[in-house]
Amino acid sequence: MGDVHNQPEPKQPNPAQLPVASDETSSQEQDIVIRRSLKERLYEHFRNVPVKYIDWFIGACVVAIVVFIILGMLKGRGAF
Amino acid sequence: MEKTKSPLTAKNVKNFLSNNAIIILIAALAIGVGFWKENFFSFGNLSNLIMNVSPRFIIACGVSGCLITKGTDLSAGRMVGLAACISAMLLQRTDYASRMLPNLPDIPVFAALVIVMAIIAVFGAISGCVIAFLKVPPFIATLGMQTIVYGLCSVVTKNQPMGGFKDSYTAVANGALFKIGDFKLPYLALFALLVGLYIWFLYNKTRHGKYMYAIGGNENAAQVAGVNVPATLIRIYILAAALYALGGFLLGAQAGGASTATGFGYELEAIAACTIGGVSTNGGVGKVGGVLIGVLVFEVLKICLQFMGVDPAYTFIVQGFVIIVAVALDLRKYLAKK
Repeated sequence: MGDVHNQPEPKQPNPAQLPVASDETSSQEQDIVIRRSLKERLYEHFRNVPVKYIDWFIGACVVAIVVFIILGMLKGRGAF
Repeated sequence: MEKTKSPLTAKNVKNFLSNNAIIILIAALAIGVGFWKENFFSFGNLSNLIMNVSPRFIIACGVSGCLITKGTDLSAGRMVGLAACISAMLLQRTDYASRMLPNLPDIPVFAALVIVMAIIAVFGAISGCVIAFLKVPPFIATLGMQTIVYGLCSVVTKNQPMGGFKDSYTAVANGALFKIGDFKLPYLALFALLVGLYIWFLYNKTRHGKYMYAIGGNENAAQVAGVNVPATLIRIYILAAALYALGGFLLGAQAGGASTATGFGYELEAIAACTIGGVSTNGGVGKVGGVLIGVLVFEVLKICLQFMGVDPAYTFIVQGFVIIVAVALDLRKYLAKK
């Protein structure tokens, strides 16, 4: 029978080496964000914007295109 | 037996419309203008369209490689301008009074093209090295290169516009492969076709093309898989610069003159054309056919606005809004995926 007292004590984990879940995860996320292209990082700012708002913005731009075409035609004909 | 789902669902139609909104809008505009104005659908107009599309397609092919790898190249327009100016300096008539290089012997047109492409490729290599080795974001690196190239162009040309080209040079752009009535197929179209075929082959049938898409999809995964990312990026920017040089060479021949203002803004048009044509600035996606469609859409828009008598200043505003809509649609696709 082995000597119980000579059995090696289970190693206590070094607190400094323990993964601090929230800090590591957030720093990993930061690394991922930094490595993304400038465009992706720019688009991340719009992540929480609902798609319907983008649709409205696109609709507004289309209306602006039509308005400026009409204004351009009037200007080209010397209306103002 | 299972019922097969009809592909024509409301969701599919909506997705098709939103993914191709700009193309559909411009096509509808062209059809409308065609019915309104008599000579819109004419062979002369078609020849004009081909002449305008060809050099821009070549430039957009260069930019597409940068976009596919999640980069960009804001120096494209200025490199086009520098190429046009160097071509002008090398290919002025020997008896021209205001020749920039009076002691230069007569150089064959093809030799001048090779020289111009080699010079501009060096700038592309520098951009590529800065991006690949120094990890400078492509936006910043090419923005800096844009300013440097413009400055060099001003120094080299002493800010003087140039003309007096050899007939053999202007014939490259103004000559035609064949003429049928009002329609002529310009040599420019042959250049564009050869470049398009080469780029299609490179992107789809070579290892370099696969590496490109891999880097654009996930650079880290590509590196782990054994792709030499820096070497591939440098090759992409060198090829892009060579294509800008070709585009500038052809533009100079087409215009019959060159100055530091040549090519100004072409990079934004090229990027917008690529985005419209489905080359995602998210990286990893893009086809040569899409680039061609994007360039066509932009040129058709310009011709439509011209036929409608829109004031040139308002044409710029409309083009700007089209670019914004193209980017907004790209953003929408990105957010919808998330």
